[in-house]
Amino acid sequence: MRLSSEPCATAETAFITNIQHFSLHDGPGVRTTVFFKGCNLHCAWCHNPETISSKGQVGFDVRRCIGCGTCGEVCPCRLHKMKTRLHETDVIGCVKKESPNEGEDVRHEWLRKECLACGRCVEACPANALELYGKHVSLSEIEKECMRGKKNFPGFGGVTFSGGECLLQARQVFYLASKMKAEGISVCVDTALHLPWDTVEGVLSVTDLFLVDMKAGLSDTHKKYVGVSNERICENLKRLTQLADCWVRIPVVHGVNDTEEEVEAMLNTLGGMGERLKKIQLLTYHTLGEPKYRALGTDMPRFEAPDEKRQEWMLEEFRRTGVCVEWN
Amino acid sequence: MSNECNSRAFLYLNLPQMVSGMLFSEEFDFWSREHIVLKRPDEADTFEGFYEAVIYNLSQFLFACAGHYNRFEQIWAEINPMPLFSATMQTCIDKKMDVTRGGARYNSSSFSLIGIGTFIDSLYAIRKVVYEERKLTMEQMKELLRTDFAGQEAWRLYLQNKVPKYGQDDEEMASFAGRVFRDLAVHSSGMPNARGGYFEASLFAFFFYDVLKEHTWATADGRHAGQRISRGCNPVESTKEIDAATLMQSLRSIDFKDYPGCAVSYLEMPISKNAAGTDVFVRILEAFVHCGGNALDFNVVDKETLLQAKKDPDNHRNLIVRVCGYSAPFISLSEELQDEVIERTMRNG
Repeated sequence: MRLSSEPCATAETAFITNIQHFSLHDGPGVRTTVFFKGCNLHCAWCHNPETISSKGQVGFDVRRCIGCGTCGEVCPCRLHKMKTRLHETDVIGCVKKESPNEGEDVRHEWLRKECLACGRCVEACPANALELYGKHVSLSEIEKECMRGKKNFPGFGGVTFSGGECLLQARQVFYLASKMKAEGISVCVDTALHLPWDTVEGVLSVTDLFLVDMKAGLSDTHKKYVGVSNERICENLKRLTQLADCWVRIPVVHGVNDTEEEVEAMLNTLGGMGERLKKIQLLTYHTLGEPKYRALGTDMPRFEAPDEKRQEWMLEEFRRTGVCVEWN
Repeated sequence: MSNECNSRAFLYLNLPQMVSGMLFSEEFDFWSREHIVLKRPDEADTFEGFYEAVIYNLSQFLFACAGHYNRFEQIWAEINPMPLFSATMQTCIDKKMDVTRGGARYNSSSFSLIGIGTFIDSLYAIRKVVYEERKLTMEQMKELLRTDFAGQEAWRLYLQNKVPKYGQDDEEMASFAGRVFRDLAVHSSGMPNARGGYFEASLFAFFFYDVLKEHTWATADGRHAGQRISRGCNPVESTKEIDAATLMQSLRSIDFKDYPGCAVSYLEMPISKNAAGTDVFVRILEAFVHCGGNALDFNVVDKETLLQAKKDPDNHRNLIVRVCGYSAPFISLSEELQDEVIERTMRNG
């Protein structure tokens, strides 16, 4: 996809889940990160499960629900029901709560499958038990939010576009990034590079640093845990490191990509990438995404983090590339 | 050498409870005791009228307090003169005058206003829900507060979660908060004291926000009676989406030049093994100054250490935490205050 140098109309929106200020883990310095929704990879250990689907989703936190029934009143599809006893089988997110009326139990039943994610219940729920993942936000509004960092932080690091896979909305990324560049704000694009090269090339001119996620070295491992093989990713990475500054970021999951064969394969890919590969960041697997899985009504697949010994060993191994390596 | 004698920390005014005192004036006798003719805010037809009444009553009360304090200050020199302290100040020596008589160059006094975050949120909730959206009448709102939201959890949560809060990214709220800060500064400063100086506005509370909470009734921002009130000039603790960045943003709506007597912001930095190091602090401090902040209290601790220290005080005698305005050995704090500090570190994690 070739992107014209003419930015798209400001009336256009991007589909995002969140804009995080004061982000310390998405590139150099204190940054503002925009999380785009929708991803074309499905990493088994994903810690932002709400960014995978490119459709809107509603999350439900049973522990917050007080069974007041406000959601049911506003739902256009009548999917939320407060029942005094358990009902049917095709129901997720039942909760037993004390009803506002004494001596009565209320269960919140919700037909999640039929939800259109219109967000009305989210707006109405007084307890904030419902959350909307995914909003169409106008580009000018996102732009304003991103500029705020520059206004408040003298040492502002810049803006990072992340996700999901932000380059699935490359037009929007290009528009926002060119606006940032015009203001002298540094732009990072966090991508897994599982995209046609043209798409990546399209944002080259407005990106200062690419944060490239690398999931596994061996194609089979990649296919097993991420859903696709990694040939295209490696090829894109090779091309990209010739043209732009990159950091490679590897989420390390014990038993998946911390084995000797895996590390060897990753080193093979990363070796000889040239000077524009500035840093390799190793990220420990963590389970902070669990509440989000629960809110989405699914179980989080369980993995383990590498122990300290393994971490040290990997640090040593990756240093062989001659690139700056750190655990983050 | 210093040349200032600022008299402070003698009066802590619980702002949210003052509002309760106005809404339920029949339950409180301090208005009549101070011969203040109360303007009933709950009888106002518009929010402007409501707000004006609240500020008017507060200013009357603060004026009365200043009178009381000044009477004490007049006999300060007789009861507790301070020759040694005075000897450290050049103007005291020049003027041959004790600090207690006004020998210092700067002779200010200040009241400490407590719970401004809760105060702002409560007034704003009344504005939104009673005067603008008209979802509740004033009588219904008062009933909720009187009964501490008994059986009305949905309303309490609505007030807590669905009405904009001070500190959140909301322009209307930011301008309202700025107005409250400004008005409170105007009415808590400017009165002359007995040493030839003037009252200055200040917003600090040491740990009093924690002591006072038990005596604070339910507030219109959905806070239960007895729950914590806000600290220093911080937003309320239960407010969603308050991080370092939003805190800085909220500072911009306040003109801290109005508060020469100090206005404290609190920020807890969770520490983890992978924390980004000292650079973060540099950035935060830069931003704080850039956004016009006045005083910043950092606490840098991790939750686990504090939990351990609570269980095993003997081995944590040197663990110092910033309580608010001062630092103290963690183990010397009351269990309740310990829990409070622990909870704070969990919040920003």
